[in-house]
Amino acid sequence: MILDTSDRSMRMHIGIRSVMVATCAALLVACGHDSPTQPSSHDKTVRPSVPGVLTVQLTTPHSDDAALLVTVNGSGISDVQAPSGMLLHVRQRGDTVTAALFGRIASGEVLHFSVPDVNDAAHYTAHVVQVADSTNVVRGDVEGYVVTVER
Amino acid sequence: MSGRSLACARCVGKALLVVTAALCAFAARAAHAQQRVTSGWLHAIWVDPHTGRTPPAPVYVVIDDAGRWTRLSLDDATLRAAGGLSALDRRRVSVSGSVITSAPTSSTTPAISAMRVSSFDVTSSTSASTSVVASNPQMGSKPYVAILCRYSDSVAVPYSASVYAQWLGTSFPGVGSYWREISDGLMGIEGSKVVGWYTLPHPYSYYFANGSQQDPNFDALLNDCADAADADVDFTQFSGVILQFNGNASAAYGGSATLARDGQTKTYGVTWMPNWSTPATFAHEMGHTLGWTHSRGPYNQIYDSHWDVMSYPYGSYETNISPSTWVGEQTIALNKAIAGWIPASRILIPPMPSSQSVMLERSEDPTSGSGYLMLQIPMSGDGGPWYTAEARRFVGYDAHLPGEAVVLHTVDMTRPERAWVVDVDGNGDPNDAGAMWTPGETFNDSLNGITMTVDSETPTGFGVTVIRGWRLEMQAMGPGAITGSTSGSCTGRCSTVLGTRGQRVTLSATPNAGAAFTGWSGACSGTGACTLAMLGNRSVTAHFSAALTIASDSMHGNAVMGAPFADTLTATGGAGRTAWSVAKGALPAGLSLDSATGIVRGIPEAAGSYTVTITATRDSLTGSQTIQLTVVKPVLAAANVMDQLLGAATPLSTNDVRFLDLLGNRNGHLDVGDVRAWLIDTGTLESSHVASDSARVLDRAPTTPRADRTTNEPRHNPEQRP
Repeated sequence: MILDTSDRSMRMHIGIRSVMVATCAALLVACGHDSPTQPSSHDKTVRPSVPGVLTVQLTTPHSDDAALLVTVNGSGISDVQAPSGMLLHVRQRGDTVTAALFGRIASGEVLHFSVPDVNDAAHYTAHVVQVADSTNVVRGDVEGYVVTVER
Repeated sequence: MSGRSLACARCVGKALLVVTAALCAFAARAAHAQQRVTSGWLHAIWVDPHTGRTPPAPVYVVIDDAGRWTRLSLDDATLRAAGGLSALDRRRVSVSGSVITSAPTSSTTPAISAMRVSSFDVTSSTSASTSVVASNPQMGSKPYVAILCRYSDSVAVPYSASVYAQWLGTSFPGVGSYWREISDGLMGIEGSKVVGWYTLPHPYSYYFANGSQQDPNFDALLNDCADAADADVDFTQFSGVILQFNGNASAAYGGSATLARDGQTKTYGVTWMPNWSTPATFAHEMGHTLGWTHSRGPYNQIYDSHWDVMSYPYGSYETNISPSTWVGEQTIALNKAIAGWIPASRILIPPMPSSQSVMLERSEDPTSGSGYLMLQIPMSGDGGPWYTAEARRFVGYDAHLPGEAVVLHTVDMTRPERAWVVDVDGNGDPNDAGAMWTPGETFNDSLNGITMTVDSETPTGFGVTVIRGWRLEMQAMGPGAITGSTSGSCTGRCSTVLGTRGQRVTLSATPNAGAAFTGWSGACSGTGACTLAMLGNRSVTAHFSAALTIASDSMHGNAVMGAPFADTLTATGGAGRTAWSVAKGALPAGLSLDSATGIVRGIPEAAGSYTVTITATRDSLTGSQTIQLTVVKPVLAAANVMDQLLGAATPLSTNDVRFLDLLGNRNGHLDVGDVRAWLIDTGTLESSHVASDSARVLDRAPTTPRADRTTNEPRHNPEQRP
């Protein structure tokens, strides 16, 4: 994959945001003693939620994909975005987000979205529904396409 | 045989030879004695009976240089062989024939020399002109001397000299004004003189054999009456001599004679008038003195045409026309042309072939306009015979005509009566409608290729169209033309005139584009090319049917891509089933024309503007119409399109979805490829983006997620804005 400067900038933005989220989480832990609802230290250990961004990675067998219809399932999905240069339309129904992506579709990240807890990344799934080539012809099958949700 | 017997036989033979020779010599002498050649001036004297309608033939005489009269007996065939009376009258001739001198019927009756004519030899010059115009000119002052003579055994006279002087005066009506008027002022008898009554040297029976009232001795009457007046008359001052007698006769007579008087021998017009003569009789007989023959109807009657004083001179007393000095109708145009009273410029002789519409002015008291006064229409060659046509109106001496009309005559200058009225009804009356051609009526002689139509009536004449030749009238009814070997292309009404009888003409009918030829009528029939033999005037009509007219119930509206479209075409004109087709251009993809119903239907698959020519055919009719059909794309909201694609809702109609599919990959349902095509089509997605140019970055900001408006769940993930 060839990334351009926009991609690098976005990745830097995500890193800073992750640091800020971690800092906030530490502050919440530090202030937890003042909270009447804070579990006692002798309760079992609860892994703290880590809000963050997950990405949908596409592996395509073709080089002329021009439109992609995918669904992403998982709770608390928000702020679905596509890499720069893509035209994205999204509809969300419950835990299912359906996204239509138009542009030059290639292997790599095709979407990213925010989730309440990036640690639950494994609970997020994505499926390729339709793929059209640059002549608008829909692929007869999408078995060769692989999409994964990654942190 | 003995010697004596033989001698006797020889004597008998000699005797027979002598007798035979003597008989032959006698016969030869006798035959020679009966043959005679007489030279002199030939004159005709017309015989006009008081009653009856069939006069004797004119009396023909030759007057030699010594003033001797020889009556000629000749039949019509001999006369016509010599060129007719026109070629002989008042001409110097040499006549061969057999002498038939009659013996005097009594001791008081002079013998009349006569001969049966076998041949003529005209020794005076004759005109070779084929024109009648002024062929016997009668111009200027032509005074007559009227000599009143009574028989030695009869005292009573019909009228005094002053009455005859009044007749010959110039007051209207009267013989004097008559000639001045009917000649259009070109000839008059002013200066005429009446002398007498003189007493003849012989009684009535001397001049009429046995007092029969027939067959007068013209020679004796003329010379004795002229002798009686000789002291009072200078004959050299007069053109004609009217001999008025006080006795009855079966006829009045008019003609000419050679007379030697006052040191001059010349031809005079001469009449021999009985005691019952009238001004009309005067006019008629004076017409003969001008060399005019009778005219007539076509019924072998002489005095039946009321169109000519030279046929019917009885009007003044048979129809009680007042006053008694009424003369009668004028003469026909032929006589006026012969006299030079109608100039050549006012006589139309139409060439062959030709068609002309002209004004035919009245021949009596004509206006000074430029209209023709006579049509002279040759039947074959220009030398005759002809038809003449003239306009007759109620004016002047024509006030008592049978009617106002164009009157036709056939003219043959070799006939005893040159002009015969054309009377088509054959009812024996040449004075009724059958002889009167009025507006709307057409005379046609198809054998000779002559047609004359009276087109209109004017205050002073008639408008006529005269055609020489065989007219082919064509009419193309409807959208088409008649083309032919002689006529070029004819649309509407047209005609042509052909100059050869029996000429063959081939006509074709050519319909205009989209129209149809449905058949001929008239002289042609069927639907193919038509060949005519022009044996007469012919009229043909080619019938064409107009092109079909195509109408549409919605053809001029817009069709929408992806939406069902239907338009019913209708054709008007003709009958039967209609076949429809696209003649030019193409309907939008997805639409088709039902060739049987004329319905354009289907779902337009591509937007655009289409120019299509539709053709309808019904029987042999064809109609075409070029139409503009525009297929537009539906205007869709982007949100609706995405909702439809992403399954959030179904806001699009079936037609909209079909449109998107047609715009995209046409696989029968909406998919991401279709939406991509629509985005490109609407400009939302730049078409360049489809290229595999990875270095290019779209400036367009990504679309943010949008809440699913169809969900019942709380909007926990509201739409974010960039």
